[in-house]
Amino acid sequence: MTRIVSAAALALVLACPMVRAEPAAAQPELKNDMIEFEYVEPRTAKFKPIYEHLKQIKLLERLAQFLSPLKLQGGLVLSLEEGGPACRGPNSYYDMAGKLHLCYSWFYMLENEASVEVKRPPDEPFTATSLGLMPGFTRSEVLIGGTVGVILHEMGHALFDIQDIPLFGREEDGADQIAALIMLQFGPKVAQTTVKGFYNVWHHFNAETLRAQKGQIRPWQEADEHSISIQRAYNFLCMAYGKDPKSFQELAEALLPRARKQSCEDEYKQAANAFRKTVLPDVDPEMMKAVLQLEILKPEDFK
Amino acid sequence: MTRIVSAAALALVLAGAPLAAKPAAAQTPPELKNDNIEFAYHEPQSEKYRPIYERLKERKILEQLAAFLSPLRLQGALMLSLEEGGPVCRSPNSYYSRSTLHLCYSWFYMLENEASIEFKRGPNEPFTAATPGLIPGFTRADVIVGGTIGVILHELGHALFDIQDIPLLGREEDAADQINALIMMQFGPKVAQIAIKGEFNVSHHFHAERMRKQRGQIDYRQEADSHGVDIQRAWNVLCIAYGKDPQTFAELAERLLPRARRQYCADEYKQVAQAFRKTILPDIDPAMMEQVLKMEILRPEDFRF
Repeated sequence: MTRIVSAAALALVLACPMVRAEPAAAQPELKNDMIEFEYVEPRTAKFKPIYEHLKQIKLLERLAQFLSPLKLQGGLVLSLEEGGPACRGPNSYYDMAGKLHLCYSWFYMLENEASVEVKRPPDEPFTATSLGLMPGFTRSEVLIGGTVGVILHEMGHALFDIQDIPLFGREEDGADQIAALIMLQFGPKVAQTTVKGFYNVWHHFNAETLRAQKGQIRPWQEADEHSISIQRAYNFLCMAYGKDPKSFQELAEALLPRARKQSCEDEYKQAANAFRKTVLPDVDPEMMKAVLQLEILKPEDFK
Repeated sequence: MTRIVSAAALALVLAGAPLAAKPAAAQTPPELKNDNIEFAYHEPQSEKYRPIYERLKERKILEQLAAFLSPLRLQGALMLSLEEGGPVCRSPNSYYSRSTLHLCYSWFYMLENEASIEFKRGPNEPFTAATPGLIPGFTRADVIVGGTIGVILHELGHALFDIQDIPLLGREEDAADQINALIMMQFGPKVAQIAIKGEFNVSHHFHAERMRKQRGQIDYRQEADSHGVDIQRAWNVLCIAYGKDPQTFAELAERLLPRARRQYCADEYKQVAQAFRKTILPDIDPAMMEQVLKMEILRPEDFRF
């Protein structure tokens, strides 16, 4: 399973276009001296298959390629690792010192929790406190969306820090917007897969919190610098619906209250406009075209 | 009451300055006028709003708000409107839409008659997240002054984002709250305390009203809203304040802000201040800004309640 997930995730990440592709004359090399990477072997046996597989498919090499068109103002290290306490969550994080930490715990959670269908009694409906896979969603959507989502979210933090992007609004929401924005540049099919998958992950976390706390969100969760999990789920879906109301109509009608739906188009446009103003000027257009020509995204990745 | 409130609020707004003031050069001070900014006082139909209308008009709140904003090189027109308004003003509310900043009487009425009023509790009943009205240890003046400044600066944030085409990554409603808190924090510790406490109390009040109505549960509609849940907004504003001035806000933050969040507040403040410097400050006329800073509008009597 990891193989398929990682390949697909990678494909999505690598195929990301914010610039329209045109046939390029000479292929620039997709290399960026500011970007390094490392696979750190896990101590825990259960993470070993994830480590081996992600290494085998060259996840970080290809992520480095994908990021190579960025004219970075500082070094960036991509690290796949078991990590310390900060990885235990399950989590992944950017450390504000040039290193993007992808923790095995996150990928393990995707495979063994968020994407797993939890048996309910025949008359029990799926509610806000139901764990795991959502009805009408697939395991591969959760695995792909959860992988792409975490990489792009942490990449958002890295960009904000390294490129010194001005941020109004909370940084965690800003990183989610970067992730959503990029997910939505692959056409409706990929957008659906990734947005549904990431939505499901946040729904799962929210359900876990509610179950552990008898249906109550605690003050320290509301006071967190992240929005609470279900707010993050709504934010992703809203961006998607705002960009492509047709593809996401059914999903938005089922999951997003009407009052919020009205502002989604503006929310998407606002994030896209900010990306154009603050991030795009530092993307090398020729290299970006070459990234777009990689054509790594294949239908069989979704099987 | 309103008169004093407005005076104080106005004073704070006008004195607001994210720029460090330098001694003005010995030149003719520039006139604090900006052809892009207009204002209008709309007489209310409802009798209960009349005293608010009359006092705010007499105090020239919009004239002075226009003067405060005059150093901005705006890329489009801005209308400041004090009004009873239509359905959007009914809740209590205020809002920015299509070049007009709508300040609704309903908001000021709510401040005076709800958020700043002490809620009667039983002798052994503690003040909780579900208790509306005045927070123990806060004053009525804090709430009315802070809530007035807060609404003006929040909507001003929306206006700036739109008119100046400011890039926003993160949610606009939170960003407008950040602009609000950032400007509140440029007046020195005393004013900062009043403004932040007031703003916190207003958000706490709204949150408490909701909790009571919904039996202690936050509804999915609030979680799905483009605004944060009210109590999140209260914490966001307090976090910016604590981040800028941990000494002044130590007691308040220790009492009201969970520790896990407190550790990020300095970075949150710095991030917002940096974004302001990069995106808004370049379009502020420095000479006019100096002039605005010299307006001594804040008087002790403004805070007598």
